[in-house]
This record gives sequence, C-alpha cells and structure tokens, in this order.
Amino acid sequence: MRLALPPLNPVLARELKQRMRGRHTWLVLTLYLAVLAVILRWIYVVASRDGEFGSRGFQGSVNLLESATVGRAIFQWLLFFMLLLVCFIVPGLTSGAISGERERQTLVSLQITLLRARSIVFGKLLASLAFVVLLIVATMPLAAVPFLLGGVSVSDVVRGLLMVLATAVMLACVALACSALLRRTQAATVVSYGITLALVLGTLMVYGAQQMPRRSGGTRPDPWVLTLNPFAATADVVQGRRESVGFESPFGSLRELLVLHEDERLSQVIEGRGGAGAFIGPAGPAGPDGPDGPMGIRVPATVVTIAPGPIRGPGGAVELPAIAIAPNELLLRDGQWDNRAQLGGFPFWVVSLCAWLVLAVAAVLLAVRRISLPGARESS
Amino acid sequence: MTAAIRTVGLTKRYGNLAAVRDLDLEVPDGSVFGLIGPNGAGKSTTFAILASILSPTSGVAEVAGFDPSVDPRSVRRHLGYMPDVLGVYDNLRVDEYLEFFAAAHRVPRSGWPGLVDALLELVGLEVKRDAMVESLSRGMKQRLALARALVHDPDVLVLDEPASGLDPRARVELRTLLGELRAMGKTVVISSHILTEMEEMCTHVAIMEAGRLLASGTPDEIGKHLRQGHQMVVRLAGGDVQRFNVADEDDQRALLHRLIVEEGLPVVEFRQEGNGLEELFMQVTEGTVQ
Repeated sequence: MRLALPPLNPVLARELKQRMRGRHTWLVLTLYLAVLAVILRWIYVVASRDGEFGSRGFQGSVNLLESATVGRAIFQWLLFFMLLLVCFIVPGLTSGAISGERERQTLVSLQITLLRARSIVFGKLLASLAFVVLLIVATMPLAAVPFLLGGVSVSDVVRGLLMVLATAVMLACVALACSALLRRTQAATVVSYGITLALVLGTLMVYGAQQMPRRSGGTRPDPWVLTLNPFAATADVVQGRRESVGFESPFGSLRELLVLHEDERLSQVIEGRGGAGAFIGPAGPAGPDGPDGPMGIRVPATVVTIAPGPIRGPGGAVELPAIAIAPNELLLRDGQWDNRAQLGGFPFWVVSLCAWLVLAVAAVLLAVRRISLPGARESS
Repeated sequence: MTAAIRTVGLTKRYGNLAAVRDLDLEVPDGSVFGLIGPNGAGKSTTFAILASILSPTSGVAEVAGFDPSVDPRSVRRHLGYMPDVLGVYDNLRVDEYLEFFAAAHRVPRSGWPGLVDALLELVGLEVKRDAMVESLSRGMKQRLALARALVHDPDVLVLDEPASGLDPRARVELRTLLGELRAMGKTVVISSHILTEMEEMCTHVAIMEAGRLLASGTPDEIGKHLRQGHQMVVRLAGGDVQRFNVADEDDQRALLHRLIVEEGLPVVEFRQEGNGLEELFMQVTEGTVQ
C-alpha cells in the first residue's frame, strides 16, 4: 500500500536525486564523520588525562563524578566542532543553489514553469538542509558516546543539536540569498563565507570594540551584537549560567561574557538604588543570612525579590525599573532551563533565535523577490 | 482567424539602447511563424517578453489572450518556450528530466509515464530514455529541450533559434517535427537568422532589424512586394549569360516565352538573381547594427 503523501516539492525531489548521485556527497559525509571521530577521541584522551579517570579507564572503581565530567567535556567539544563544521559546510553547500542554475542556463526554464519563486527557493533550501540533517543524524552515534560516561541528559543533547540545526537554517538562508542576488557562484560563495565569518568572528570584534573603556565612563553596552553569533547562543543553551567544572569548556569564555553583563547590571541596579545587602563578588562562603545564588550572587534573606516592582529591605521600599533585571526566580532557582543569561528581559538564546529568524526571513524574501519573473532585466 | 500572439507598440529599452522598438506583431492561430533578423535585431528580447521572462518598457503583448506582464501564470500555462541556450542538469536521466518539468508544470503524477513516452516518441529520443542528460549530443539536447517545452501541452510554442548548431540532417528532422506540431494544432513561432529554411518551414514570416519590424506576411506576399523590378539571369547553351529586368512574375513568364518560342534561344538556365528569402533579407535589411 502506498502512503498518500502530499507531492514533494519538485525542486527538492530533483535536488535530492542529483545530490545522492553526485560524486562528492559520500566524500563530504565520510570526511565530516572522520573529522568528528578523531576530535572525539582526542577530547576523550585530553579530558580523561586531567583526572584519575583516564589512567584507570573502566577497570576498577570508577569515579562517577569524573566520568560525568569527561562525558560533559566530550559533548560540549563535539557540539562546538559540529557547529564549526556546519559553518564551513553550509555556505559552500548552498551558495551555488540558484547561481549554479543560472550558470547552467536552467534557471529561466524553471522560472517560467508554474512553480512559484517561493517554491523554487524553498525547494533549494530544503535540499541543502536535508543534507545537513543527514550529517547531524549521522553524528548521532558519536553524540551518544557521552551517554556512556554520564553527565549529559537526553534533553541536553537534543537542545544542543537543535541549536546546530537552527544555525544551519540561518546560514543556509543567508547563503541562498547570496546565490540568488549574485550572478556567479564564485561571488556567492565568497560572500556567503564572508557573512558567516562576520557572524562568528565579526560579532566578537564589534563586541570587543564596544566594550573598550570610554572617557565618559558610563555603562558598557549590552552584548546585543552577540545574539547573531551562533556560538554565543549555543553557549547559552548548553551552559547557561553554570560554570563548567573540571574541564575546559569551548563555550566557557562566551558564557562568561554573557553572564558578566547581567551581573554588572544587577550590581549597578542594586547599588545605585541602595538595595540593602545584595552584592556581587566572587563566590564566598555562604553567609548566614541566605543561600548563594549562581555565580556567587549572595542574596541576603532580607531581600525577598530582585524583580520589577519594589524591593523590600531594611532601607525601605525601592522601586526598580521593569527592564532592569529578570524576575528573581530565574536568578535564584538553580533549574536547568531557566538558568540562562538574560538580555532585554528575555533569555539570551531566545533573543538570539529571534534575531536569526528575522535574518533568515529577510534573506528568503530577498531571494524570492530576486528570482520572480517577469523582471526588468534578464537574469541569465 | 484569431491571433495566438499579438503585440502592440511593444518596446524594451535598456538605458539608452532600445532592443525592441514599437513592435506590432500578429501571429495567426495555427501558423508557423518565422521571426527573421540578424543577431541583435531584438528577436530573443521579443520572445523573452512573450514568455513572461522580461517586462516590456512600454506597449502591450498578448499570448493566447493573456498579457504576460499582468498574468504571467496564465501565459505560462499556454506557452511552451525553448530558449536558445540548452540548460541540462547533471546526474539526471532523460525521463527524470522530463518528469521534473512535468511536476513543475503541475502535471499529475499519474500522467507522467504516458506523457514521457509520448514526448520521447515525438522528438525521437525513445532509445535515450535511460541515458544521462549531460551525455546527449547537441542535437539530442535540442530535441529534449523541445520535449521539455511541450510537457504541459501548450497551445503556443516559442522556439528561439531552434536550428542553430544543428547539422543538415537534424535540420530536416526539425522541419518534419514542426510540421507535426502544426498538424497537432499548435501555433509555432521560431526565430532564426538562417533564412533559406524558414521559407520552407513557415506559413508566415516577419523580418526584424535593430528592434524594428521591417516586413511581415506570408513568404509569397513579402516576395511579391519586394520582387517588383528584379533581375532574371538567363544562361544559354553556349555559355552566354544575359540579364533582363522584369517587373513581376507575369512579366517573367512572358520573358521566358519570348526567349524560347519567339527567338528560339537555347536557354539552359533561367533564374532569379539571388535565392529567395536570403536575397530578400539582404534587400530589406541594411545591416544596421545598434
């Protein structure tokens, strides 16, 4: 019995056929997995050398905590390199999608069929992403290794992979727009990689420039520019406010940047408004008056809320502006999901995904507009 | 007779350059219409406007009753267009290539096998059904491109330079094919700068140069119009060649009669100076290049 599936986008169907018959497909897949496997092995060796775990291996008694640490290290580094490989593969994979048809003189024939411009663009996009999904699925066995060691939950892995996928979608949309807007594949490839580089390294440089001390003093601007950075958002999702313990996390320094701003903001608000007792500092021993919050924000018991609305403390009620910081639960609860860096009152990763969505939608709309016919000039 | 294609004052400018100027064309239903002109005359631009690829600067075009710049989808439903360059995909078989375009034209999947069979038979590519598209010869790719343009059974076919790059045998086959398409009730518009064939293939001809329409009508009409006062070349058995000026075809017949019957000359050749459309074309166009 045949399943009554809705008809597949013709462009997608054709691209998949061509892709899987192509000479390079198996090569890319093999290389991708080989690189990740080598990296995985390397992380395993390095991470386990630091503790006693490595020297003993699985023989004898295993320290579960150390094993979990190695598991987490492997997971995070694996994710980091997956993200890096996606940044390398996706622009190259997608930037020829439309300009290649133009060069092969097939685009016009396609444009004057009953296919709408958006169907062509989506077919191309899905064809690229199908391959990326194949890569990610092929990585699953590698991503499962941390499960053996512990320290990583299924939801951690799923969330991490979804961030990789989101990154791939965003980069593919951008590369596709380049492919539609520029005539030649070569130019489209260069520009796509340029934009990817700008998103990954450029945003960090802009951020660095923004944070230079100014003569006038004042507050440092929030790290809005980092929302465009795929690594920053993934760092937030993977690590949040938790510090990695026992291993060097690839996302560690990005996480610190994100958290730093929030903590600074918090201290300014509290100190500026004369909030009683709250202070920011290195994690010290828990005071007698309250539990340690994450990142050593010691919250005295007298301060009940750090939230939009009045703070009730010994100094009297203090009104805080609503934008100042997030609701206190987010800071105080050491939960997994809520424990994220904040930006403009929302979790950083949410802001980030919204920014990517805007970027991707704009890119797709540009591409669709560019290949809609009839046009004023011939596109070939 | 209704017109399959009609243009009124069609103009396309690129900056200061006018590729098509004030073109009034009328292609009757069921005709094989040849658009003739030197390179750069604006033939391809005109076709691109008709095929809803380019929007005109001014003027109106109409294909099967629809304006390509207003309702491109209706035009695409009724028009099959074969561009002058043949694009093919890698890693795709001939039948898959046609199926892809059938899908793109929203032909229901159940109809694909029959359609592909019929099209391959029409263009004579049955044996290449399982061949990879990129492995076809130029002539075969041309035929495949024609099959592709026919995938949605259009009423009007626009073929841009279908005979270019074909060997003589393939040209003869093309002519036969055009005849078949005409017999199927389709209107065919072809462009070419190779004129001798157009004369045999086309029921109607229009001559373009530098974006303008110089003449249009049936080949005979244009011929009559332009052959007034042409020269006849007469060669005699001894090798003597004489030239006579004639006003029209009656005059021409009278001349032949006089030479053979009255003067009793051994005429071995009696022909018109130049050969048909080629000569016509040279007369009409002045080699103006923009």
